[in-house]
Amino acid sequence: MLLSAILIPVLLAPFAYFFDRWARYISLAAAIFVTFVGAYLWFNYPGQGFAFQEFYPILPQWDFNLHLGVDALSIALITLTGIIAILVTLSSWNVERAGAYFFLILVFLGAMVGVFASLNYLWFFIFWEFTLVPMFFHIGIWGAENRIYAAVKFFLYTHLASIFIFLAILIIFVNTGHFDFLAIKQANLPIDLQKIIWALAFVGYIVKMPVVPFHTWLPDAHVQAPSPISVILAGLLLKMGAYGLLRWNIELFPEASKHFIYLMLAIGLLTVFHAAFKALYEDHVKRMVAYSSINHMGLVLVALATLSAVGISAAIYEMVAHALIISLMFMIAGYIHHITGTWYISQIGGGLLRKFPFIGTLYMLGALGALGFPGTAGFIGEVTAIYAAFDKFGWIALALPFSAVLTAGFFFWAIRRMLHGEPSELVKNLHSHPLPVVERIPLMAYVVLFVLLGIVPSILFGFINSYANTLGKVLGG
Amino acid sequence: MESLIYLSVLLPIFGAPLVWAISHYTNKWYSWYLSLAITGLSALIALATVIGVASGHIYQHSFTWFEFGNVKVPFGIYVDGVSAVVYSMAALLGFLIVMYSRGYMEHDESPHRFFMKVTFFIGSMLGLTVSDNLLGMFIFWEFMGLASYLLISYWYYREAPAAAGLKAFLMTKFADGFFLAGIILLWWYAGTLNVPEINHLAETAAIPVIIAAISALLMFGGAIGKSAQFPLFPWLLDAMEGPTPVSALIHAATMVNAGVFLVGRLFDFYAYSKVLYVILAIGALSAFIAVLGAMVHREIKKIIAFSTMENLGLMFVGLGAGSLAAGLFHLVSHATFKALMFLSAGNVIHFTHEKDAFKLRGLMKVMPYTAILFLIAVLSLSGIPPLSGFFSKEWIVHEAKEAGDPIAFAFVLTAAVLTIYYGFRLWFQIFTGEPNEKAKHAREAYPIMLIPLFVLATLTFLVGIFHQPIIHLIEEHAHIPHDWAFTALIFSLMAIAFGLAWLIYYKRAINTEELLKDPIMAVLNKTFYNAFFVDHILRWLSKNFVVEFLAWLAHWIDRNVYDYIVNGVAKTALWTWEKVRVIQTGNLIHYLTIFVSGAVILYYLYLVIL
Repeated sequence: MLLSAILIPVLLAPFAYFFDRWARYISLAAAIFVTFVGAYLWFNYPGQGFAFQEFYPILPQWDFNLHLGVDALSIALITLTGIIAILVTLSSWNVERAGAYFFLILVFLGAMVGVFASLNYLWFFIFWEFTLVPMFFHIGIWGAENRIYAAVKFFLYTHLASIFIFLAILIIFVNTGHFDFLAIKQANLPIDLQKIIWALAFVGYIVKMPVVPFHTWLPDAHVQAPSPISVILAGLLLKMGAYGLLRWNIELFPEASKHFIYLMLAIGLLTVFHAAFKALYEDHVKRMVAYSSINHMGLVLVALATLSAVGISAAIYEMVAHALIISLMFMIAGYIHHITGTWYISQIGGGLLRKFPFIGTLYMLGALGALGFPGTAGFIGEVTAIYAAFDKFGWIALALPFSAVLTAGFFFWAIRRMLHGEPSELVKNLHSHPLPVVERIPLMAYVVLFVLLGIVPSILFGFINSYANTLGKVLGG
Repeated sequence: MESLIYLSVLLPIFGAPLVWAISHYTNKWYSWYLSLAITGLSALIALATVIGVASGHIYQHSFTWFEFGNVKVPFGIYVDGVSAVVYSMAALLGFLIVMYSRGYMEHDESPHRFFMKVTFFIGSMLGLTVSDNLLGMFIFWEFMGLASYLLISYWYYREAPAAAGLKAFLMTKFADGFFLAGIILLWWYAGTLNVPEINHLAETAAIPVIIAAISALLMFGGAIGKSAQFPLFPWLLDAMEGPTPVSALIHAATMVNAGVFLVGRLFDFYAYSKVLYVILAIGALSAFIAVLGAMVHREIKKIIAFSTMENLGLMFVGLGAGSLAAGLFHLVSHATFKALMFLSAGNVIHFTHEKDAFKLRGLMKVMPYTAILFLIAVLSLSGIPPLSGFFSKEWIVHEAKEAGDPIAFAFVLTAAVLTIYYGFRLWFQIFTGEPNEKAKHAREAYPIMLIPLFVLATLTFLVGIFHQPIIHLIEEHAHIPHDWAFTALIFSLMAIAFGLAWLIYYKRAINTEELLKDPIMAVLNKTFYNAFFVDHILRWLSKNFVVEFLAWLAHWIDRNVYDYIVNGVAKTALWTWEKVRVIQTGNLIHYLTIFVSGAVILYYLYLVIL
């Protein structure tokens, strides 16, 4: 079951490459398949521990075996992967050089499921690295004018970070003789060694998330990437960082984690406010969204830093909320660029909403989600994260509501300058060209999903609470 | 009944998109019918509720909305007297204003957008009033903030409304940051979000007073923003860029009351936390600033906006002085006459196309009904019996006197007395004298715009005459204290203020232009006009401190610290590569030499270290 979710997209990839015209349908089919696998796992998950385990020995003497297994966290993220993949495929419906494009999407999809389903650290790392390659080519080939620089920066940066994870894996293997999650968990490593491993892997994960001070690759990559790829970056790739931190650091080394909570808190808070203020200064439509994305990941890190049941469930919720909301914002930012031909708010100069009500309205809805407006998933993620942070860290958490104020500041100020007001010369001369229906569907789907999660949060919480509570007990006890 | 109350909230909120959709492809006025039906139903439910509550019921229902980790988040309703009064008032006014808007929005190109937003707003306000927990209140509170933003910037394709909407949204959102912080703090310490339970904390003293005080002040920060008190009031003045029915509904009769309602809803908790004095001080100061602003402004709506701010200040004074009933009764009373005032002003603006009161004259002859209705509103505002304003305002001034703070009392007294001055200044200016050019081209409003006004005028009488049952609903044993000597004093002061207004704006015996030539008067005029330059200071801070400094700093650090390090690493790597490249000769002997020497060095190091 799990293996098929990894292999089917990868095996379909060559077909997509050779049958150019069918590529998008193949990609859609694979994405739907992954979503169905996710849904199947979701509804049949027994509620505790790793289920649906599969074990394929490869080099048993080195403990290098493809060991797959999922729990609530993985299932939630695999389902999210499937859904985002469907929406990305629809958004890329009319892309140029579709064969190669969807080839890479399919490879990425398989690797992504692999990341979330692997219980073998080395396989996790292989899948992890594999996700980089399609992204590199997506940015490098389909990107904007400065794409090569961005692609190389993205690749080198995150690749360099991966070396730290690899080192951590090697240290674990040398000391335990295992790559397997369950086996490592059983092995009682000395606490100092645990701390070293933890710190090394942490560097790798926070670069991917990304948080201050390792975040500067993200705005560049996003600005150059085509919008659907930005969606993948924000919606899925960044989740790998948080997922890795949670699974392979916090869950694996609960004792060592406790030594790092204030480090995580400090980085998280710094990220939240640095990114929010930076976005306030931003004139670039997409860069602003990118910093908003970093701002959210900072909040995720703060929630994770609590190492409590409430914090972990809040972090997972915020991850999913972020995926849906920021994806919408990236798509809209891309359309605004497409329509106006410029990235800069000051050059657009106002009046877009009247001419492009669909795009404009969605931008406003996305902005509301991003600032954590009630009725959107962002609100739930934010309130629960702040509560968790207060629960653990006390008064300092009360600064966090103001991050939402800043988010309101930069997004609504952008709305004022870009969407509202009298039309500028540039906007007056634009021709309205309605979006094709197939590209409208994903945009509306994001809204429907994050509003649904905002109104009925138990859909997700009901599923992940048992995971968070179990882990919270381990960490608290 | 409880399910009906849920319906009255959820139907407008979820029905709002439907209101838009029904008209998007068909007749644009279908949206009005649908909106009227929805808000009418809500108003009926609200009236039934208030009757039920008056006969001794308390409607409550609560359920777990969701659970994260091991913390439960509740959702539910709790309708007692305090809640029912505001709830029914908001529902009724909402319905009347939707009805009125048919006339006011007649020339609008997309009224369905308007009715969608108004319907959504009304649902949110009703949700706030019946919600039984703080998080629920916060949700509806934010909804109203959004609705207000959308309605102020309703004509978003013009510059001024767009700017006004942004200001309102950000200023109230800033305040809401405090509100949310206060909620989280209280939630954690009290272990509950439930309003009755939080009020009950006062009796059991379950949390330390200092924590209660901090969280009460933080939440009051939210109320300052929403209820346009010092120093976060400038948005309310700019909000007058929105359509007038919106000003009536949101920026006078309902939404701005949310802050007052919040304090009233948590009144026992506030009393326990010992911060009522702060509320009194802020309220008195705001009322004072506002009344001075209202005296010198020229635009009809701006004057009424200042008047709203003043009255909200008075409500806070009532609460701050320790009387729940005084504050909330003034809320109800003010809502009726202020809605009446705004809507009559709406008639004037709609049929003359003029916002500036000083460009209008003699409308009495053209719009007699509107003139009389406006007059009733002004009388009630000024506190003339038997209109509602008389009872509620007298009471608040009385409470302020009892509170024992001479400065606050002086502010309140000034505000209460000068109200009649600016009220009649406006009325004399617009309605008396000979009709000017603008007035001659006007006409009396349509019946659809007058009917809601008649209802409101009747209401302000009724609330005045039947004040006792309403007060009992709010607070069981409260009653208006009567101090006839004091009342006589106020009335004589008011008579002087009225006389002044009569002399200047009716008799035209004093020329204000002449007065303004005096430099001191001119400076005072400018200070009052700009409400003590609070707006300027806030704008300066947000521009120069937040954007130009903090945001710039983040930008600078991003460029010169974080990215610099990254680029530095890359450069170092490149540099190393440049230097090391020379040894990459491709000659096997060279490689072998380096390899062997490296191995030897490592071996020696190994020996030395161990």
